[in-house]
Amino acid sequence: MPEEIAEILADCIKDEHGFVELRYHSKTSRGVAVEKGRIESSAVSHRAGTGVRVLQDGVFGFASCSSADPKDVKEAITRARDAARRSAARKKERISGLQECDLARGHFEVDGVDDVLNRSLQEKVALAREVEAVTRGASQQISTATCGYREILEEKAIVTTDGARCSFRLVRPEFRVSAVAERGGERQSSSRTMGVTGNWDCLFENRAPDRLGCDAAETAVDLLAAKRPPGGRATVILAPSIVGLLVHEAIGHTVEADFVESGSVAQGKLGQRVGSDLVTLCDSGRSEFHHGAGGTLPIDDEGVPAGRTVIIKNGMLQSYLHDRTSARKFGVQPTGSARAWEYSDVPLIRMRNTYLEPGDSSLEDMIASTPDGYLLDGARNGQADATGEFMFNVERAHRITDGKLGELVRGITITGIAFDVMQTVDAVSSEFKWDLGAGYCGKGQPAKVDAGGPYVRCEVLLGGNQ
Amino acid sequence: MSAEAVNPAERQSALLGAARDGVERAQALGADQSEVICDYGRETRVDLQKDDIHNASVSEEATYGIRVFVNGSMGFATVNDPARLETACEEALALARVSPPDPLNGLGDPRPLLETPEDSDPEIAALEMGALVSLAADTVDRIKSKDPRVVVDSGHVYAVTSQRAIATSTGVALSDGRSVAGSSFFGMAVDGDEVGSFDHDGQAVVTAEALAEATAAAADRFVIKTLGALGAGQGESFRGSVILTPEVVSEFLVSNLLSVLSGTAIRTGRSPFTESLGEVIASTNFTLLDNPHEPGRIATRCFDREGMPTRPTPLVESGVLKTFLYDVYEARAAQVEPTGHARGSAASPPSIGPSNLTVAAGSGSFSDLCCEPERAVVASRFSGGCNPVTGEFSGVVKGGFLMRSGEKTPIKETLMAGNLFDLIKNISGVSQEARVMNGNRTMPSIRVDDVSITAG
Repeated sequence: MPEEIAEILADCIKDEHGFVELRYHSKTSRGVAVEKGRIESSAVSHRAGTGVRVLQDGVFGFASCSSADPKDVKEAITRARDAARRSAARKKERISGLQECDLARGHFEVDGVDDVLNRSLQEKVALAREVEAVTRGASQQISTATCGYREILEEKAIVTTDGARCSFRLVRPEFRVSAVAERGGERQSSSRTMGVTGNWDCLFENRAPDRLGCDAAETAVDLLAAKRPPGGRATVILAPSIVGLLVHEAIGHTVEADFVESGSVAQGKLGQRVGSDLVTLCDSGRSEFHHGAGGTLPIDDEGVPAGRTVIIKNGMLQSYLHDRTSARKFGVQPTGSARAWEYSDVPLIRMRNTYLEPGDSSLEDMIASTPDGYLLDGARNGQADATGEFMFNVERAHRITDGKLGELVRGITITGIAFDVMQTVDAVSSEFKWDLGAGYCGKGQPAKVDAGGPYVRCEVLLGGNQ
Repeated sequence: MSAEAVNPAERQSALLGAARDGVERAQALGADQSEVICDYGRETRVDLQKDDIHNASVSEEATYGIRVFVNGSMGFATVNDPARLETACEEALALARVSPPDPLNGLGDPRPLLETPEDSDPEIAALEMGALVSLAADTVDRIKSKDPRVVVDSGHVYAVTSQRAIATSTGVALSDGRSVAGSSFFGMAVDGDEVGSFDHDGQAVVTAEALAEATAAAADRFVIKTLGALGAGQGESFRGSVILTPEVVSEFLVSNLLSVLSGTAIRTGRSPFTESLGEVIASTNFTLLDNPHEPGRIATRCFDREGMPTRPTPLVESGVLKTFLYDVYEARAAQVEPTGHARGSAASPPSIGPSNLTVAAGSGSFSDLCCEPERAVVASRFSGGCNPVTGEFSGVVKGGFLMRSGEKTPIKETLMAGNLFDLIKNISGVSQEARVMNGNRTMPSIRVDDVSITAG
């Protein structure tokens, strides 16, 4: 149990001097993937060990061992100190220390662990098989379908020489289904994903699993007849999945303090206007507005409680995301944003659940008041730049003409400069949804995150035909 | 703080012993067939952040992957603690027992290897932390001396030694080892209020002697790329030619094409090339080869993740589709011989993938490629998506240039869209210059025509 391991680790550092951080991390994932009636993969993975970080001679040293055995951990502390010492001579700007703050103590149990683990393997395998079969049978034009279920159980214990002594357990189940439609040599595909931090019911509370499969099949078939739209500037209403991608990729990364220090577009913009009055953007370790957000965590990997950070308030840039090192440099409190993917990874500044706060418009009114534009939903992938320039692929785009939803179009990519696009936001709906819970963020190492928000109307550049 | 305490040959022997032991346990617990793969790795690494040393780390781990078959059903489990090997066997068996049978499931019979394993450079294992720190710091100094506007946001210099052993109940018992050292740099140029598009470069090598030179070359390319993005202006919307640099050829064109050249994509109907073997699928100036025996590359290996022999595999020759990539299962499904393309580590079940890829170089220069069309876009990086089922792609050209009558202008907010399967038929030029990327891909630049370009 992680709370017992926290005690063992605390004993390992009681005689250490200077800053030492020990993080035990056990990660167990179980998954099954079905395609065209065949179990393509069924696997369980268990990886556990202790990551050791020390601050020695003004530089961080890191080492890891694949156990929480005190002998192995103490050897790793020695290796981490040695690594730091050997690099100190070439360190230009020595790290003076980590920001003092309230560090977590005690055990934190996030809802859902027992519920998910107590469900049988048979039930999970059967679900994936059934939904794949339903999806494949949804239309004669569906040529193949896939369905996958995965759950990740995380158990952590974090202790530091300056006061953290905490542990937690949480579970993140994920479900994904996709369909390929084919007609006369033409192919189209569609997918639906769900991912939460929480129990089984939470995973499927918005949509039953077989409905997700049918939705994917229906979209894939509809896309066969869809045309590419002309490219150019366009008014768009972004669904929560695309809003989530926008706030995560195009803004969230630029306000990570390590990236700010390197010169991201958010550098020097604290207190400046970066969006319209309707834009309030946050990142939180909690699941705000609705439970189950996929990036939820009680404490970060430095032992800092993972609370809510208001990044943009009514259009004004208010805060960056910090670990304890950057917080000290910037003279602010850490935001609980230090995260490591596995025990052998060094914690980095990462997002958790990133979102735009809801407004007071309704989606219906937003569509009705749009003379010419698109309603965009279904984020396929997204990337952003140091400049805040972003690019997202969109799976489902419906034309809006004279305030009415029209035909489905395909092959849409949207791009823009995030802070410029935020300035064009002129309507924000009251609906709110987490919609990227099955997603992973990449920054040298993966991180489980979520993102979402309301429906948002703005202007972007649309990629299409020339 | 450097060399491994255990001799690599001794470690390989110990890993093979553990793999054989795992197979025996799985068989005793009720498996009809079983496969155990053991991976050991040790990494010494220096991380950079904002033009400075940030972290120095040493990590070491052994991972065990167990795949079992019971009554035609399959299960897989992986652990990083040898004490949990028996539990992992039980978990893999439990997964197999709740899965439906598939008559094609099962391990391959041992086959003779076509090559002997390449020796690893012991000097990589002997690289000390101090040497890597000096190389990392010196390289940052080199970058800043070339132009202080270039910022290394993050990066690392590393040395990895690894050993692998695989044993199966069908008689496979193999082991090998290798060492890789490398570096990577990620960042952008910042000039006053202007922030350029970020970019990256890096290289991986198999000898310690080659590390410094490869790192310097990667750093120099990184400087050129990041500076090139400064001063970017509006592009032009048109339908026409795009020059894909080696990075885009590798990460966009080849990677997406490979996803429909696997036996899995053929069996599941996700590939448009199911009936295209021996047919022309690309321009005649396009040739793609996978060579797992290529000397001096990081993915060189004489047996694959399932213990099957690897072999040089021409995928596309002068535009003609020659073969697909197969592991044991897919070969059985297609009634052909495995091509030795099962990939992956002990942390996951095998999946199909390439080793060392080469796109054959052409005869014209990169300069000719850019200047021949009256108007063209050079894409140094492509930030976008490609639907591997449909081939439709759309995304932003990064570090891009507009070429007009030989004049080169940096551009931003420029979208490129089209269909990959049409794109490879529209290759109108391949450069004679080719570059080794990440230690296992050799790529030239390629010009493609009839691409939709939308400027902001």
